[in-house]
Amino acid sequence: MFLRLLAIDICKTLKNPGLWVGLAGVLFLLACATLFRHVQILHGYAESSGGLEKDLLSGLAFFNQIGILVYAILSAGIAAFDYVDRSMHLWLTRGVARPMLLTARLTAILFFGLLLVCFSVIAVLGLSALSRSLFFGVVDATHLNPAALLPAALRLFWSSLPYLALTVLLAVLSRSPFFAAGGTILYGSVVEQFAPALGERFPWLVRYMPASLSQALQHGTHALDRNALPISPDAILPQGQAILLIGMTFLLLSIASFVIFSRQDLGG
Amino acid sequence: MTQIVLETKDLTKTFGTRKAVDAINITAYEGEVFGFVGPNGAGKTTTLGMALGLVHPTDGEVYVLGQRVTPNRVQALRDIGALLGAPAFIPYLSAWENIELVARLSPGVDKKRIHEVIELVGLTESARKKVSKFSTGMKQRVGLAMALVHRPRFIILDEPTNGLDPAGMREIRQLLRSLAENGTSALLSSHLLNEVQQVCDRIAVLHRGRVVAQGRVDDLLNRQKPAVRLTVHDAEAAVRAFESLPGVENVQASGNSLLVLGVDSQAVMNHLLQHHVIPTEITAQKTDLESVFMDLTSAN
Repeated sequence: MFLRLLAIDICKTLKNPGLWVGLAGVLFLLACATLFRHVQILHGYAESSGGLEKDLLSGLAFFNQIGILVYAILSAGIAAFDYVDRSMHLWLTRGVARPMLLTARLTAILFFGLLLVCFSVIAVLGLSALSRSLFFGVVDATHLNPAALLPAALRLFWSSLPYLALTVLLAVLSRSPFFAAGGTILYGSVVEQFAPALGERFPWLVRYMPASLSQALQHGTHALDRNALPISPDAILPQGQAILLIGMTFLLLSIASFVIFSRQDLGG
Repeated sequence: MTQIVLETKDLTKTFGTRKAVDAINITAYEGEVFGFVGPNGAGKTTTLGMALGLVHPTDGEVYVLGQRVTPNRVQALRDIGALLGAPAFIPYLSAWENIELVARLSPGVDKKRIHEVIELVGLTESARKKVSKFSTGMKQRVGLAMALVHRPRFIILDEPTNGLDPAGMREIRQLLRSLAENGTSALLSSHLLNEVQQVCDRIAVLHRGRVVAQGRVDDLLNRQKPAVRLTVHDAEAAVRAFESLPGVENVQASGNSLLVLGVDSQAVMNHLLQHHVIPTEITAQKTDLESVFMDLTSAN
């Protein structure tokens, strides 16, 4: 039953025009960022050293910035629209167990989250190569470390987990895709942006927030540049701890979603 | 022995301090169309929600096809088809895709069956169109097809003829009857009492969260006391005459027109003739579910 539900979720999400519009939007933003960087280099406003590896690092950092918006919309679309169009009744009235339905939903969200990250890595690579050949006539990939590509994509994906789980929790709580996506975006763009101001009073709080954990994890992404020196500032957590804490945050938020969803009255 | 398809035992649901459903006991049997009627806010949808595992009961038990819904929801609802309120569907998919998606939950439902059910609800022409472009009546047909695609043993339908034209309503009534004749039991919740009277074998009347009557439609209709409407030249003389007729419960006069409650037309005719009052028109009031329903709900 779980696999059937997962197949249903994946199938209906793939047929959702919103997914393709969203991917086109991400592609457009990444293209703009890449072109902007290359125009800056061309006109001497940015450092011209480096090749594809620098584009990739800069593109992935940009994606990490807009990621919250994309993850929030994606997971709200999958987890909360069922409440609005009441299609959740289609599955629940046929005897599908609530924990199984939510597990399938979460798995579908993780699947599409991973797909989105892979799409973005490939898009940044493709767009950078295309733009470099157009603007500079050459695509320099000598310093790019291909072996670091997959770990970089996985790091990016792992960093998204708390935001995906937070959106699902808000979707279950509010039963509204707009509140779910809006809540996560508000958290990412307001709470996490202003949290460093509290750093002096509550350093432990800021240190363990998803943004800081993601930052800690993203330090490893520099391995994409063969010339980069390994850096590990004292202020940030070691990668292993960041991976574990991100996983725990995801797990805690997901458990809260399961508990609330299992007790919810869904009539009418 | 006839099997019970739906049974509630002191089923109760409280929202805050308001009791939406108050210790109701209903029983629906295999092979019958069971009607569930009540005014808006009577607790019909909440009760169906509890039967379908969407709403958690505050107290009491609900059994579907012999299984207690909590905690055996998965087993209890496997052979159930349901259409609760406005039909649920995925708006950007076609009718075919929606039905096909739901059919994936049940092994053994093939494309032939999807074609069959689409034809059954009269959607053959529009099966490939997006559901979001459908009229309310067509959406209702998609909902019905999704409820029936896996050949359920018991279907629960909440206002299934909403938005349908008279011909469509008739088709659905016929469909329900033929399903029942072929062994699929049905629960029909509707505010259209005429529809319920035509289709259902037994009904439960719900009012303010309580079951105020339950039984065979014929029995409930027979419980209704007779009434006669007549027109006379001298209404005052007729009213005086009825004072001596045993069984008369009430006489309502409006000009020359009278409504006599509690006696049949034969008794009225005989009595008036004995008192030399000649009616110009006399009609036995037809007993229908609507008057039974009004009596039951106003009495409570």
